Amino acid sequence: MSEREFDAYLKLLGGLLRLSPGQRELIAGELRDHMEERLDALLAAGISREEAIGQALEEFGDVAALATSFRQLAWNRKRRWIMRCTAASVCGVLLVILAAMVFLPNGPSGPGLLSQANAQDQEVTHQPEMKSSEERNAETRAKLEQSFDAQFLDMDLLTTLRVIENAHDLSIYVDMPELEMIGVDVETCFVTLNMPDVRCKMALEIILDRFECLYYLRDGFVVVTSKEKAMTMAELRVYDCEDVLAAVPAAAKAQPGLGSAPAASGANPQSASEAEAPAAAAKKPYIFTSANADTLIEIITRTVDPDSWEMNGGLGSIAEYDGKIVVRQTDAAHAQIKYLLENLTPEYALTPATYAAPQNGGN
Amino acid sequence: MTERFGRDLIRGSLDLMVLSVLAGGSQYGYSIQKRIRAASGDRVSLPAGTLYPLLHKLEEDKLIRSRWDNEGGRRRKWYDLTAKGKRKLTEQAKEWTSYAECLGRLLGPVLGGVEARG
Repeated sequence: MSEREFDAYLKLLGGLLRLSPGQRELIAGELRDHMEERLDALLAAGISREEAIGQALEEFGDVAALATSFRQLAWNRKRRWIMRCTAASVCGVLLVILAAMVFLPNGPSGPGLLSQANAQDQEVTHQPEMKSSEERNAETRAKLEQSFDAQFLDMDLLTTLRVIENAHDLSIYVDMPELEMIGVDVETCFVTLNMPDVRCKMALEIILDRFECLYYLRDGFVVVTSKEKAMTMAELRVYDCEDVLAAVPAAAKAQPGLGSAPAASGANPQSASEAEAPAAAAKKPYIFTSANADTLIEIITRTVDPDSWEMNGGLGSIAEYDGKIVVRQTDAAHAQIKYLLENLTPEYALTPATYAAPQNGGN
Repeated sequence: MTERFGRDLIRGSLDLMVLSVLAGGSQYGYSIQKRIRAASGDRVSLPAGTLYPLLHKLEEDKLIRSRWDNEGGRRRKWYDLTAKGKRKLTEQAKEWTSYAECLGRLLGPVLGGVEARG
C-alpha cells in the first residue's frame, strides 16, 4: 500500500533531511511502515480513508520539526566523529614525536630533526597570521546577521542552540553551571518559535530572553549565560557621537547658554561662517552641548534594554566625554546602540527643547 | 475518559518507557507506541514525531539496536535492548522508583493521604 499523501510527506521530509540518499530511504521506509499500519488500524476502527490518512499524518506532526530532530541526531553523530578523529590525531602526533625521540638519540641537534624543524619554521612563516579576538568576534557578528527560518516546535533549549550553531557555522558555548544556578535546565526548557527569515541574532535574543539569559561574544565564541553574568562580562566601547551630539548650527555658537564647544568641533564655526547656501548652514556644522549629551544618553538608556543600566539597577554604564559616548554594556546592547546611533541624525535625534532653534543660514 | 498526563510530566521519562517496553522483547516503532499507550491506560501518548527521533537517539547511544526484516511481506525495522540499555534501564528504574516514593511522601499530606503519613 502506498498512499500519495504519505509519499508526499516522506518526500518533503527527505528533502529537508540533508542526509545521504541511503539514510533518507531508511528513515522514510520506517516511517511509511508506521503510517500504513496506523492507517489499517484507523480504517478497522471505522474511520473513513480520507480522515484516517489525515490523522496518521497529523500524528507525525510538522514535517520541518521532524526533519530538524533527525538532522540534529546526524549532526551529533558528526560531532562525535570529529572529536574522536581529533583525539586520534593528537595521539598519533604524540606517538610520532615519541618515536622520533627514541630513534634519534642526538635530539633536536641531529640533522634529521633540524631539517624537519626548518621545514616547520618555513611552514609557520607561511601560515596566516593568528586572528585577534576582535577579528574573531567580527566574523561571528557577521554570521549572527544572517537570516534563517527559525522554526522550533517544543524543542529543548540545548538542541535549539545546537541547531542554530549548526545552521550558521557558529561556536556556541553554553555556560551550564551558571544556567543551572538560575534554574534553567537546557534539556527540559523548551522552545517554540516560528519566525521565517529572521536574523540569527534576533532569534537568539528572543529565545534566550525567555529564560532570563543572554549571550556575549568572546574570542569568536557565542557564550550563552544568565543575564546577570553576561552583564558582568560587559565590554567597554567608545562611540564618536560628535555628529549626533552637535545639535545646533555653528552660527548659534555666539548665543549665550549654549554650552561650550569642544576642540574637536572648533573648526565647525569657521566653516559655517564660510557657508553660502542657507540649506547647507542649516544642516552643518553643529556644536554640541552638555544638554544634548544628556538627551542622547536618555534616548539610549530608555530604548536599549532599559533595565540593564545602572540607574535602573543594572550593570550597564554610560557617560559622555568630549563628543564621545563611553558605554559599558553587553555585546547585544552594543549592537543596538550602534544601530541607533547610525540611524540618528541631528535634525530629529534630539528634541528641540534641548538646543537653540537653528539660525537662518545666511544671516 | 481518564485524563492524559501532561507533556511536561512525561518528557523526562520517555526514554525509560521505551527501554522498558523493549525489555520484554523485540518491537517495532508502532508496536512500542501501542504498548506504551496500553500500559498507561491511554494516559501517555507518545506521538510518532517524537517516538522515531527518540528511537534513533537511543540507537546512537547504543542503548538499543535495530535490524530490518520482511516478515509478513512488509519491510519493517525492529528494535532490541542492548546490554548497555539493560544496565541503563535498571539504573533508571531504581532512580525513578526512589523519586516517585520521595514525591509520594511529599505530596501525600497535600492530598490528605493517611497512608503517606503512616
